[in-house]
Amino acid sequence: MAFNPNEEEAVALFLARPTVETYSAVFRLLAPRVQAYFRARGYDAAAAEDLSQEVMLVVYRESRRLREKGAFQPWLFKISRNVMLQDYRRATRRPQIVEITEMESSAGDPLAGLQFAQWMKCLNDDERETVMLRYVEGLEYHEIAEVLGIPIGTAQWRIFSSKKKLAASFGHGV
Amino acid sequence: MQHGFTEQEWMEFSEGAMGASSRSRLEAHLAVCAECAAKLDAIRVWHQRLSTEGERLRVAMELPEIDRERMLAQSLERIAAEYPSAERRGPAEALAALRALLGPVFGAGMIRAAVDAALERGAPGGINAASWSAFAAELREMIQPACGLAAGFLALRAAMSLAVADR
Ligand SMILES: [Zn+2]
Repeated sequence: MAFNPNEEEAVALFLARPTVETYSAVFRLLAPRVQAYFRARGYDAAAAEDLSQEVMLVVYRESRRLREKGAFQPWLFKISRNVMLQDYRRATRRPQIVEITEMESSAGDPLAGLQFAQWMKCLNDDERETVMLRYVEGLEYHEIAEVLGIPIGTAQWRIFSSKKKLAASFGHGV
Repeated sequence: MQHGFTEQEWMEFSEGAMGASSRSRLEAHLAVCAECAAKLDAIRVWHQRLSTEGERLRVAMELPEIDRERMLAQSLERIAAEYPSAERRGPAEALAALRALLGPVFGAGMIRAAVDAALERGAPGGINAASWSAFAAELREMIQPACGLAAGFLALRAAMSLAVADR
């Protein structure tokens, strides 16, 4: 999902001068998305919160290195992904998107995610992560390529072949 | 390969990555070939479904505002602890920062009034590093009756996350 002009301004102000105020504005904007990133990948609310805090701390600490506001969104999800991979190495058990069953706690939409999780079962790890970055986080292909460290063409291929797999597994009727 | 087009070309067409001339050649074929049009349609249906359900999932997984504000206060505390020199400010600056922090949540007018009342009660001799925590406690008392327990706590955390120095 692209930033709107207000969001772009908040990010630009933060990158120009990371202070309590500019960081707070960016935190309000992005922490909910980072939280959603972890929740959508099977973490419960408390674990997602801990990981989101780690991500936002890295954002604060490393922001001086990032000069270009256009690169901010892929950078944010790259950090989120790294934090998740670190957590995989620490943990004995990986959360699974396919295990998401308790969705009711967040926004009172108990069925959100059930359908999506069902679909994700027929994809491999790479396809699933690419599809989620595209359709849950709403990233463009060049941003997905940046987050995953793959060529743009590879990101496009994964999306295309995932949709073909879904059509083959679930058909395209209602 | 399907009807003279490679899989790569189908992919590029589907994902909007195809140049104009190849695209019009493929579009011309789709206009006369029901089989290819149906295959492409199935992929487009899945694009739509994934967009709709993906957005729904993201929105459902987002943080409620009250949790977001609690997390922000925690994050600011951690930053203040890890970078003590970076954000230490004088009392006047700290008050301005606090108003800027809480204004978007509670409304600027409400925060101005609550801060003024808390200053009067918590720091009657003037606001400084020593009277800051008494002021923060009073601010909580001001906000709690109107906005609830969690909101009062939030205001307290936000005030205590600002490192104040006398200068
Ligand atoms: Zn054909």
